[in-house]
Amino acid sequence: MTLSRFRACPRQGHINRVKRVIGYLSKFKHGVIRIRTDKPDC
Amino acid sequence: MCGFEAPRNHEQAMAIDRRNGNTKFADAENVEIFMIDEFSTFEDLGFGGNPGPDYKKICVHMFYAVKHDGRHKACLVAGGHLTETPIDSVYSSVVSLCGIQLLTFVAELNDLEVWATDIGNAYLESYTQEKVYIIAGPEFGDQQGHTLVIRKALYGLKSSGLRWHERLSDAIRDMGFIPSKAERDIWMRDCGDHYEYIAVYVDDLLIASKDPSSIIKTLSDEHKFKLKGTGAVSFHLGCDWFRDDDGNLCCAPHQYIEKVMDNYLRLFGKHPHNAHSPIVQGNHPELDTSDLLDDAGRSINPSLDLSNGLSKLVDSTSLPPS
Repeated sequence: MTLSRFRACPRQGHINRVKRVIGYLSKFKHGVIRIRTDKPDC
Repeated sequence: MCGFEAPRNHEQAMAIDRRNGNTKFADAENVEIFMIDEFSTFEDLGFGGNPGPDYKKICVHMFYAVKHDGRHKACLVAGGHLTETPIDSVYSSVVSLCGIQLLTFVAELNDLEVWATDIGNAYLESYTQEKVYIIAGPEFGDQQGHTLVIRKALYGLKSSGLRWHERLSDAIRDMGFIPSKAERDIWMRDCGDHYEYIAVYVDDLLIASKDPSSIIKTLSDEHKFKLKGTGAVSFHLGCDWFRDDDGNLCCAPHQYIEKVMDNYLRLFGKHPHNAHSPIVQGNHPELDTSDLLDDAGRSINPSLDLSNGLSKLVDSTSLPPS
């Protein structure tokens, strides 16, 4: 479920959830999806 | 659009230009109308022209925006809400984010180059089957008051997305590509010892090939598409693409996150509190009964909107730090 579905009728709770998502992004703002094709260590 | 007033119609746009002592919105309108003309979007029947009883009169709106780099844009949008809902499906699919990741993984495995390109004025490349016309407004200059029959799949019509999808699919199929059975918007072409791939997200293409420039050349020379931002992928669907120190291809919405952080700071006057996870356990926003936001609160929501790429990262609760 995405928060964008509540854009038409947003509540304070939805803004608080958006703030938390942004807080998460702030913590992991240097995160990347890395595409590695070498054999994994196992 | 922070710091710029965006008009809601032609009269407001002209008033803002007069107040600012420039012609930025007028210029943006002229660029849009020029492109509309260049693609022969309308058939002009002149003053009082009657297209026939099968045609329905609708309206068009000029939509105005100011990009983050200050560029003023105007976009003509048809009032598709005034037409009957089509009986047949007008659904138009796009490649999934998982499909994009798979494509880049296969490309890396097979030493293919990954290029991105964007098709300009994509919808206007295809014809509409809807029988609709408009009476030209003041934004059409000398044509004001003329009856204009819409011939092209103008943005806003219900079937325009599908018409464009069909047009591009025909072009890609002509080039010898076939759609993947698992992802219909990933197209594959057998090159003997490997496959080439094209991933389609409306007008944004991601091409994996040993010679992507030849595919680009065919799209622009034979199929006459106006391509923009063509080259090795560096920014696609809201994500930055780059290679790390080990040479691995990486994607991350760094620019987008930066913009969201800037907006957050501007709106709330402080940086967000770091959170270990994007949502809490038992999260049910659909059951929220807290106070409804007022108009000021509503304006906050779009400013903090999350892009596709960003959503993907947020989905990944086990995202490792780089």
